[in-house]
Amino acid sequence: MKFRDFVVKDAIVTDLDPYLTKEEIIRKLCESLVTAGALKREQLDDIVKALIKREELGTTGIGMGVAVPHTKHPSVDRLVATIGISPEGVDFDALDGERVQSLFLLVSPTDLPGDHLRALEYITRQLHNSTFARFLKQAKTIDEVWTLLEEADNGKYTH
Amino acid sequence: MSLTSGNSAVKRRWVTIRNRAGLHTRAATLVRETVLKHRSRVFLIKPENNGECLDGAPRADATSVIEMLSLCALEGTPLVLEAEGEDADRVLDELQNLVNCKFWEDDFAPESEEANHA
Repeated sequence: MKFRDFVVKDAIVTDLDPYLTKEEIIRKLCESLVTAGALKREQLDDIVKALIKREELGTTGIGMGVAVPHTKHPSVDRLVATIGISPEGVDFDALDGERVQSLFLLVSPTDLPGDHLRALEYITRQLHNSTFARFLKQAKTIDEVWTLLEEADNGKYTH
Repeated sequence: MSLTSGNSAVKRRWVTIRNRAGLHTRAATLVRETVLKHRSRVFLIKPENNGECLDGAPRADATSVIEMLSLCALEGTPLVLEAEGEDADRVLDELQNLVNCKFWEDDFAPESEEANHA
């Protein structure tokens, strides 16, 4: 599984306001997926609610400036994701107490736990590379993020 | 199964991930929380070649959710829990129990919101 298989390019957001709350961030990223045509408008509120409920079970701010808010939802038939970048970092209640600069928001079908885990594996394996992690946090445009993802998909940051 | 390596301070247990969602974010967070309650250093190792070889096998610091997720431990994946420290047996007991209880998912709470939002 590669970024191009699940990240929706047109839904990437690179200028997340550092003062947004966790709920506002989740809603903004979901709205971006709706605008890009990856989620249905009528399911927006339900998906946002499910994502927030998941956060209440325990934060998905997994440390090193990264968060992976996610949920399963019956309205999607394949894994879809977007990326949010906040150069200054947002407060996402991360496990290590640090602010979060890179968010990967994932919505999975209800019956494909393997794809969900493979996507998380792929994301975290790329983030092990400090160059990839640093460039991602510094990306200012959708095209900059996408170029980075393409480079990652071509094996530039892993061996 | 419990084995002690040549270095008496390092202890290992072989387990198999049994919950349907695998070692996902919340499960890894539970592992982290368990490890942080103890003093031992703990790693999760994903053995290669049917468990014969641990040298060079992917390993994750059990206090790092990011490293644990990068193991991609799906249902059925064998893992080696490795602990070094004065309370190694105790932390391994708790981790083994956590894995064997499917992180309190599936059979333990099949209809719960928690299982649905792994």
